Amino acid sequence: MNVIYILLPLSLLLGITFLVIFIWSVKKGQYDDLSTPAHRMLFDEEYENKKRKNL
Amino acid sequence: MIETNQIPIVASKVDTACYHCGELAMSPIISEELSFCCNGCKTVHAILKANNLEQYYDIKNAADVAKIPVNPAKENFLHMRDENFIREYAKVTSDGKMILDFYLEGIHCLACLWLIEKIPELVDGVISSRLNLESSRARFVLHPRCDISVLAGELNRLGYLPHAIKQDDEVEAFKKKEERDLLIRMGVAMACMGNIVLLSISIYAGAEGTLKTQFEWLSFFLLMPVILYCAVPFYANALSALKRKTISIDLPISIALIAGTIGGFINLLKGNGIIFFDSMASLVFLLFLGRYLLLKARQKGVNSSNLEYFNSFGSVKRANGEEVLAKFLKPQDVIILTKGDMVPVDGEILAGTALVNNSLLTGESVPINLFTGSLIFSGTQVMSGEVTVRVEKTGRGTRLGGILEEVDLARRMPAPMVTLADKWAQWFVIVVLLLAAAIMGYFAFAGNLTEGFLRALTLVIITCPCALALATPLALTSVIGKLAGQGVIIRSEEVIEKLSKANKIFLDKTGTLTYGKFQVVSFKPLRSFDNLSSIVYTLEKDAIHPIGVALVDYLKDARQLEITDWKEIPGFGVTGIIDGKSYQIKRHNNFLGLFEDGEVILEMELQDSLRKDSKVAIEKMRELKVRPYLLSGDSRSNVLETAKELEISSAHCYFEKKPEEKNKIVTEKAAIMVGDGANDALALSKASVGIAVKGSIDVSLKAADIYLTKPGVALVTLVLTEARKTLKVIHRNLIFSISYNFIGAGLAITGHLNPLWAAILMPLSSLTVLFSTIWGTGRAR
Repeated sequence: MNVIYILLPLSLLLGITFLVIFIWSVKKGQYDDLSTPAHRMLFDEEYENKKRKNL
Repeated sequence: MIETNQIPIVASKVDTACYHCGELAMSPIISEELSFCCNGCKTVHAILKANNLEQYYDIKNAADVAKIPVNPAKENFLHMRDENFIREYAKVTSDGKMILDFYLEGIHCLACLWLIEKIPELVDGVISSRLNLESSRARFVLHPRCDISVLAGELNRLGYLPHAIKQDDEVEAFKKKEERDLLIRMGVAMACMGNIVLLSISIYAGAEGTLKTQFEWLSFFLLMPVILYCAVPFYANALSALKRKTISIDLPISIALIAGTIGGFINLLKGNGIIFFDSMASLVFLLFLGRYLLLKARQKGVNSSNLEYFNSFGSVKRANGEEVLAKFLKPQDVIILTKGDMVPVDGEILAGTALVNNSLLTGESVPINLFTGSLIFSGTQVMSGEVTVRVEKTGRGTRLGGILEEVDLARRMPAPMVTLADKWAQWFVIVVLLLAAAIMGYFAFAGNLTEGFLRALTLVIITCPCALALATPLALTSVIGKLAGQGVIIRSEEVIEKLSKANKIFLDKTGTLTYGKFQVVSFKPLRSFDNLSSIVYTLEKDAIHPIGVALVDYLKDARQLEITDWKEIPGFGVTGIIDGKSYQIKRHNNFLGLFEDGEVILEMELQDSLRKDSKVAIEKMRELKVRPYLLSGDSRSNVLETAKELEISSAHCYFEKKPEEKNKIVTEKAAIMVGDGANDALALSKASVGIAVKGSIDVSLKAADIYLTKPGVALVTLVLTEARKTLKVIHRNLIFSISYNFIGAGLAITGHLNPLWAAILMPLSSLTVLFSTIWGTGRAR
């Protein structure tokens, strides 16, 4: 059972890392608009192609 | 009255789905073998085709969205060239580009998103466009010399009526900060909760000895961020409510959190007894989740600031031809007002004549004639004619400004509505706190204070309305999102509860149940003539009376003939000589007659007819046990006739009512009011729930709780049904949580509460309520 003294801090560390990443992404504004980007990525590719053609 | 079969039918009556919007069209417009329900849809299709953007339909069909026909408002956007406008609404970046925000009316799916973000390819000078689907706001980056009015015109042609939004950086930044703060607190609470729950499971599963103690200490440290950081807003709210001498739901939450932590810590030190760290962390997380969901729903549909965008006091023309937003006008400016214009200022007529609808100020629906020298007032509408006006008063100084102030006051006056959940929770809180105190007292008397403290604590924690906190916002969120998808904008979620309680609905007639303008319903020649329509057309072509305007509209394909001695006599009709014969159009019995040398040769009938969907909507209202009333400023005969068509008993009709009288009737009966006109504004603000329909003017929108983005009352029934369904779900949730809490409380008081069961029951109750909500309201859009 002694392994728990390694695993527990490790899992906590992992959790804290993800929490920090989450806070960072919120502060960066990644969660400001939840629905539009999800739709936008569906037709981004076609849009880019057209732009390139226009150049 | 005339029979329906006398109504001239223009196109064949075949039900066909519109190629653009999918709505069933009664008389479709056929173009290139495709059928459209209206010219708006046809135009948009043509624009898309010309620009190789037909992929729109593939995206749209895949998205399975609500059917909303395109109905471009006939507006021009020349006022957007005005330098005042640009200064106020556009932000200039350091490299000279302009950034402009618009609220777009009519955004409903990802095909819209696709189309809006294609705007740079459609309009010259637009560098980029980004749309936020949730808030229907689009941000455009423009070249410095780009003509904003062209961009706005193009958006309008595509069916999205643009409303410029003032970019208020400070407010925006504050809102953004608030939302992010909430999200971070929620995230931290969730991370801590997850870890605590994992540790608790091992404890419940039978961890013992040092391991148990260590796990408990770890849980305690994990709880600290939740109590000391995440939950701070709860303490703040509870305190501020106490300062206002009210009890908010945040008070028992705060007490439970603080007392629970202290109690748990004491048990931890003693090494036995219950620690509630997992329950407390879950409580905080679930509360934040509920609040976050509600915030998101607000951004979608409830946003009251959205209503401010629908500003129909758009632009006016200056004497030099420039268009300017009404709010930039100053006294002594000279403006020109023509047919259809809302008068934005108080002023004096310098030249011209006009027929003006004064219904806002006087309640009188019959338009009056104004001449040079007359005063013209803000809030009235020019029905026909053209006048040059010198501005005398603007904004709050006008007579309309006074009414607006009254509306504002009425909106602020009523005591803050306590929602049902709050009301129940308040009583519940008081009962629980008293009970806890009684237990403490009882055990203290019996000489076992520790036991009393623990049981009281258990009671407070177990009865925390955790499920409740999540369920009500979720139900409201789901219904608000659903309604927003159908084109209903709700100012505040309190309305849902009021809506389902109302059993009376007052409907304005003109413009709400009817189309709000004259239409030719019969055109019956008494003898056969070939150029009859041309004669009528020629006679009425320059008339300013609404009847003349309607006739010209009806006969727009007719030829213009030569005419002499033409005269329009107010209150009588028009006369003129065509081809040597004298003609008159004037009232004849119940009809409008065309007279040739004094003899009637044509009978016409004009009417403001009922909207197609009004009757069905009224029937549905009756099914929902909401009694419809007519409340109109119009004449007795007109109102009674409409009532007859809608099968509303004449006892439920109010006619010839002035705005103040409407307001009084609605206040007395505490009911729903549906209206559009300016003369409904006061009533809308005084009614239990005010619903403004599409086409409403500014004042009405300010006064209303709900704005329908489609004309007519069909959406009202949808709103009513959804509101009732939602309230039923909320009731069920309340009953469930309360009974769950009572059982929990019973076990806690008698000391039977097993921590394992508490840990299982706690999330289980939340989940049950959650599912009940989702099942009951149907999935949000």
